[in-house]
Amino acid sequence: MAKTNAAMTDLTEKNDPPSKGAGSAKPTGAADITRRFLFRLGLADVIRFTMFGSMVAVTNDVTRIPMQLPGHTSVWWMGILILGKGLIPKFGGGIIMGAVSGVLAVLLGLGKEGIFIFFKYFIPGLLLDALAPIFFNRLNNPFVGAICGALISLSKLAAALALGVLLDLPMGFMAMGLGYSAVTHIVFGGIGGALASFLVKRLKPRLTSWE
Amino acid sequence: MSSLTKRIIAGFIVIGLLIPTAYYAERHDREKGIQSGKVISVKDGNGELVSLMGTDVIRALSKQQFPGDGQAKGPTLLYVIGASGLTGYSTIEVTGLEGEQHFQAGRQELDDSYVLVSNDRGTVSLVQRSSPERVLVDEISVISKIN
Repeated sequence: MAKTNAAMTDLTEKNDPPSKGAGSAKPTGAADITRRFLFRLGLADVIRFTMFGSMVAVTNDVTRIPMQLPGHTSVWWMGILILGKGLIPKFGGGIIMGAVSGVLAVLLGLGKEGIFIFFKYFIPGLLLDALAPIFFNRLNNPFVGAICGALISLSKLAAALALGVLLDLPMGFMAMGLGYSAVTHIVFGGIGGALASFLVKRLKPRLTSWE
Repeated sequence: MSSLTKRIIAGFIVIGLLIPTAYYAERHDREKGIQSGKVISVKDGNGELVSLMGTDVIRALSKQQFPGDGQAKGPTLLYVIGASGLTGYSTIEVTGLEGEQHFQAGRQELDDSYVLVSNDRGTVSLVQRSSPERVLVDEISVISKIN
């Protein structure tokens, strides 16, 4: 009888999940989402960045604002990028968001650059990864948000110009209004970045479980 | 002053420098384009600029006017004038790059027979659709309203 009881105890220990209080218990195998997956990011962070990247492409596809000003999409485009990078201040986030939004932009058929539109989405993300460490990843500061938003918005314009030259697209009117386009891109990108920094400031303390 | 504040100030200075750089690049590109004939100036009766049209835009207008027509040589002069925003004219003048070649036509004459054709030098020439080998104005530089 004693032998049977011991066997049952063994079986119970094997089948029971580790108790919540068991601090030493580490998840293993597929359940380990904190383990390095890409760059220095865990799988959970990569999925979160993928979500932000998808938001950029889908929002650009769906949102139609009858505002005839170049670069007005930067308000939400750069805003979402800075929000993602601000909430998860780790290297590689911008690259992942840019790459995911770029691939989705190609698949959704956005723009007139064909598959090359990927670069228009990828470059701002890449630059954001380079810029954020310069400002100590303090994207919750509205000035830092505005500067990063303005600069990555300008990089989008530069990428569009470079693609226009390389693909011989009709961008004569754009080149002739380059100064004006640069100003509007900076203004809208700055607004998006500053708004995102306020959101980062409010959301980050509530997302402690993301770390 | 903290290190972050210094970097924020530096960031604003960089942005402040990028704006005049963009305006300079635009001006440089425009002047170079006008000098090489790759940008056509459209002017009103007072000689004031109505618009600037790159030769890439002329090629795009051709596709817009004749969609799916691979044989189209280029957009008509009338279509280009309409796209430029020039209105209220009765006589128009097309001038070549060197200023030696001129072509004048009244509004009634401007039918679909005058076409702007792209050439190998990246500029456009004015030809008559019925005889494209005879160039009326080579390397168009200015389209202006006479009256």
